[in-house]
Amino acid sequence: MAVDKLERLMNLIAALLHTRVPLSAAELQTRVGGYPPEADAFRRQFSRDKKDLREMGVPIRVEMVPDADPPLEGYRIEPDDYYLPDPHLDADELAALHLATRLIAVGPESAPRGLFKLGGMAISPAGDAPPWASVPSDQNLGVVFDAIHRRRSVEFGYRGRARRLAPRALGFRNGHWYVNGVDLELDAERVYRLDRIDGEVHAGDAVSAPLDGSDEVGSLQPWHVGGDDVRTATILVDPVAVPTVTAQLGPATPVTVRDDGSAEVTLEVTNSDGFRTWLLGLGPTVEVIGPADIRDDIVAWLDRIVGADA
Amino acid sequence: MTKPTATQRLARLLALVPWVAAHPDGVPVDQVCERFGVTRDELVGDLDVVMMVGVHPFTPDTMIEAWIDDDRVMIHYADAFSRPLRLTADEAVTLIAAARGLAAVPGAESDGPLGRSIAKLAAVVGAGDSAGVDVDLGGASAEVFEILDTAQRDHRQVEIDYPDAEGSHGVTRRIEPARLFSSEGRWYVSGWCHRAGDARVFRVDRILAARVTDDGFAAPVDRAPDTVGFDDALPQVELEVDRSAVWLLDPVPALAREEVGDAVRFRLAIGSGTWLARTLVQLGPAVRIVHSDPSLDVTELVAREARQLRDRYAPRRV
Repeated sequence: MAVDKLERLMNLIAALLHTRVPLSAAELQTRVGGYPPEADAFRRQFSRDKKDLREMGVPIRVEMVPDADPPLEGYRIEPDDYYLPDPHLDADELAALHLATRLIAVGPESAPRGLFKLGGMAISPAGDAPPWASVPSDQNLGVVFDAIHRRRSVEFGYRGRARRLAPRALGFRNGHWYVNGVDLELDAERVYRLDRIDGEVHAGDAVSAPLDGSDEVGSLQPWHVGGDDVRTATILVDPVAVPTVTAQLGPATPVTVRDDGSAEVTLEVTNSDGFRTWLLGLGPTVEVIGPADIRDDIVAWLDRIVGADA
Repeated sequence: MTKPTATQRLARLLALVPWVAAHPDGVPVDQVCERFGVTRDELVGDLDVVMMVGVHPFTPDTMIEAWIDDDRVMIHYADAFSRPLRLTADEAVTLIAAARGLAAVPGAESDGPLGRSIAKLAAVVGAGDSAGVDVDLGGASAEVFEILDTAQRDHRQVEIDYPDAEGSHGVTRRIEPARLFSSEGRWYVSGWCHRAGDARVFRVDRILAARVTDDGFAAPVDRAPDTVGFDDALPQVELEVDRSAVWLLDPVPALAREEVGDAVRFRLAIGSGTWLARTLVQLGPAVRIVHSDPSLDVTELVAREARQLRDRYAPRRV
């Protein structure tokens, strides 16, 4: 059974790669051995085969058969879509890559299939040692990676809002995958955590302008990740906490030191929940000066806790 | 072991056929089996299928030739399968993430074979130099990391200076490193701790200094990665946190973590009352205290922290 199917699938790929013009389903039925003669049974099996091959990444094109009357859909594989360009990996480079997949386990598969395509697995250089790190996979990782390199936008829901992002880079930090880029609705830089995306990411339109900027994922500060509109908040930091806070913020953040050694710091806040959490984590050495509604939000939060405990 | 499905075998063949066909004089059977993770019988079964593959009209000149001669695998005329199937996005990102992860290990060489393999892979998938994937497994001193890694492989005891539970000063401990690993963006070393008389897990970035000793050890004693702790019998709390706020406790090593409906229950060892109070104020209505050690007056701790914070925003509405 399995051999018949394997043989049929390989012959189907060979036929689709070999042809220059799209082949109709009926032509494929005669040109590829192993299909049942009855029309319904053939149709079912052929559509299952197409699905299986596409799931493996075989790029089957659907095109109109030339000069067919009435119009007829045909199938072929463009060799340039199908063949892996040779990366010309030297033996030591392939071994290093193999070692990487042994020590850094990405996703659930112990032997990544991609490695077979690059020339198989040499003897494991790391022996049976357990991996150093397990990096979780994410259902949307491949879609986003593909969109980055095809310069397409991605669309997804996040914190109950539809987002359109021109993605620039993926980053794995603190045990989570993040994607950064330009949010096309907000026309501003944003970072999103992949495992907090609602459901599936879909590839969108081509992104016209090339994305400038760093390939690094950039700021993962809690008041930036997954943002909405930008607010500028000013905080006052007691002298004792100035070194801690400035170390966390990095040199790019504007800091005005007052005569008494305390410091006023302005932050671009896009995630107010994240901002409040960060601020409260610093304890009573820091307060928000403005804007008033963010300050009121913090006060109301604290009043609720003081009230609840009173 | 379950029998591979037709598509799993197909995936293997789409890689194996081009690789063997690239060697016109054939490849030793053992080498093919090793590279592609198959037994000799499976390989023979695969070659039987490959011989049946060709294009219409399936005359002998259109068929792939595959055979074993003098213990070498030969595949000729596999024109359609002269190159492997392109990497899928999932496969590419998996490989690049693993390579970037290893390149980010403290003390790793960024150039060298690994760096070159990343650049070549990135070129093949049409990506820039950095491949658009950045993997950070945690920071740590390269020197400490290498001492621990070498000692773990050579089974040598190590002395480490490690902060006490309050984080105020370092205490020297002798450990038998069993495993180095990264979790939630931090590096840890697990193993037997002589001072504790028990297995322990330590954060590598907190180790102030590490020294290899002349003493070896027999069998490594490992410990589950989610039980990072101090050897003092710390008071414990059990918190129930709404899923929307769980991220705040994600990086905190928990003694236990259990999903309960739309919330997660954490059991935590508390080394600092201030930390606990601050965390509870941060979580606000998203946390409920399920249980707390009587020695921790949690209600009073939280109230004091919230009042102190609130007092910065006087006048206070009552």
